[in-house]
Amino acid sequence: MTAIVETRALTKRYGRRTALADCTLTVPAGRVVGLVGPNGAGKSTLLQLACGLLTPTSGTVEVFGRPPAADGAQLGRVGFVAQDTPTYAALTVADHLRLGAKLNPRWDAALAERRVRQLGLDPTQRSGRLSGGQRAQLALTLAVAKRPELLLLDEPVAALDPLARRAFLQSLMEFVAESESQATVVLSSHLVSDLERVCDHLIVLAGSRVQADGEIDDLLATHFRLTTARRDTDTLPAGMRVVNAEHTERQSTFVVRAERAVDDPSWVMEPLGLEDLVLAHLTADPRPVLEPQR
Amino acid sequence: MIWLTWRQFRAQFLVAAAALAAATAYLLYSGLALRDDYRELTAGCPTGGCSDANQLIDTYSLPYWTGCVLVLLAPALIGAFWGASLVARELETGTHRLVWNQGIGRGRWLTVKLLLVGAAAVAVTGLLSLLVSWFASPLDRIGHDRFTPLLFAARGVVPLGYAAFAVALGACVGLFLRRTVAAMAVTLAAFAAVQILVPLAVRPHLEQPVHRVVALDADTLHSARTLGFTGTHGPSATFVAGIDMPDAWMLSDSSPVQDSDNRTLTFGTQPCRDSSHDLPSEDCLARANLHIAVDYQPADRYWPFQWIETAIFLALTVALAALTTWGLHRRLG
Repeated sequence: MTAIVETRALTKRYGRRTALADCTLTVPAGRVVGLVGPNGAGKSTLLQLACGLLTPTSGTVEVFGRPPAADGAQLGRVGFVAQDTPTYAALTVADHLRLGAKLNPRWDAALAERRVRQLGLDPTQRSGRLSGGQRAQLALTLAVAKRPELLLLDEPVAALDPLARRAFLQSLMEFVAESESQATVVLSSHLVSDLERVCDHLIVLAGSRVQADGEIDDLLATHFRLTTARRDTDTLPAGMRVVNAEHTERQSTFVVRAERAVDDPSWVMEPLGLEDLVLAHLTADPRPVLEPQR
Repeated sequence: MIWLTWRQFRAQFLVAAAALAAATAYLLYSGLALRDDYRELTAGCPTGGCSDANQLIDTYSLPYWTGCVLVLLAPALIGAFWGASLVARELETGTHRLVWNQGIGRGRWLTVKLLLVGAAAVAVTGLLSLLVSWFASPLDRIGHDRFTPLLFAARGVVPLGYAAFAVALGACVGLFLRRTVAAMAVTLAAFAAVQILVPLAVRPHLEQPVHRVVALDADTLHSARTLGFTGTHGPSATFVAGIDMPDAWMLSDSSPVQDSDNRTLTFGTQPCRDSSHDLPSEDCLARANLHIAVDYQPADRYWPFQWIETAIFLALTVALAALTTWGLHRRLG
């Protein structure tokens, strides 16, 4: 499997604050990757490192096997929609399309115009007067009309109402479906429900570290909730790794990672929803639980 | 990128162009009238000056000083409004994260912006300076004072250097402060500081000043700018005199008056004591064989100084642009 984005021990510090620590991960080609984590977990930092807006304090990040934003050609292959979807408030929608056409060699003008028409945006409208959802759609249009092979989106729907959120994710899926050589998308959010709908791969980031990373189907197939009479964590059989443990006086509840469910009359082992799975990782021991690369 | 820069900069540029057009109309109108008056005046005058020539300066003092102030202010305003917002506004509104991910690098983004806005700044200031220099040239021929610090900065080619420098300064400050309004204020303050510092500390030393001993004869005394006593009131007050030289830049406002034995004179030791007046009579002084030593930059150094100072500011511009480019990659990484 070709890696589109590959980071090794990637670390970013702002003065004494660590925004991202020792992050090693691979984004496989042709996937829609969800990057989930609480606010301040390092999602923005990771995405901005991947598109070259930031440079690492230590470690490396490579996109298509090269440093990000190395030159114009490299920039042209990566689309980026920044947090809060910034646009030039004084420029009209048409101006933004012209900007994209002037600055990007692979610009697809027909696609951009078609999208603007479909979205019902007025080309003569200044972007400062667009609604949040319209502005996000404009920013997405700019990013996808570059015909990128990798599309990075930093919390694009965080500020949108549910309807605009749905419309935006819809547009995003259309782009993925239409792209000739199946573009790779990395989308960050602090809401699992946003990602569940569109992603097939998930990276959980918390406390500036990668907590879990894998195909959503695999993650769902290997995570279980295990409810038993109260027992210590280390009495569980080998082959089960505890992600998260909760004890009451009489009962213990574990979220474990295992190859398959193990039948045992002394416990109930059941599959976990994605939301609970992510939450378990977010409330896990802060020690990094790095998954093997596949 | 050229299109985008122009699209973003259009409104600001049109405001400046409108202001320049208004200034042009005003100075052209006044300048043509001034030339008529000047011809009339010099036609009835013997060569070597006219006693009522200075009246012309009074008559045209409003356009004269307006022009000077415009040329002095233009680079400062350009630096604050064009330069400081060049980078700071993008960082403030987050649009740098949009534009730096288009198919051009941020290095080229900055280069195009700086070159285009810098060229516009130089063009606007250059036209204004040309206009003001043209307007004021008859008055400069009467006043012989274009080398004085204030007028030097408001004539010729130096304003072009100031304008380029101001844009680069504004862009650099904007990059490091990331706030448009703060960057504008700091740019104005820094530019003003440079404009005060240069004539005080740098320009006088661009070339070794000429040191000359000037005899205080009847002519010199008659045209002296200052003549009197400084320091504590009483017999020990130093006797000083200051003179003007046409079109030269006098670095010493006034110098101690010395006698033929090079002794510095005071109120008590000056040779023409007169109980009825504080000031000795010029006739008596003219016979006393006195002299003063002056330091000045002679008139023929005016254009060399203009070019040298312009070159210094252009070099500073290049240095600031390099610093901004460096900061763009380092500081925003």
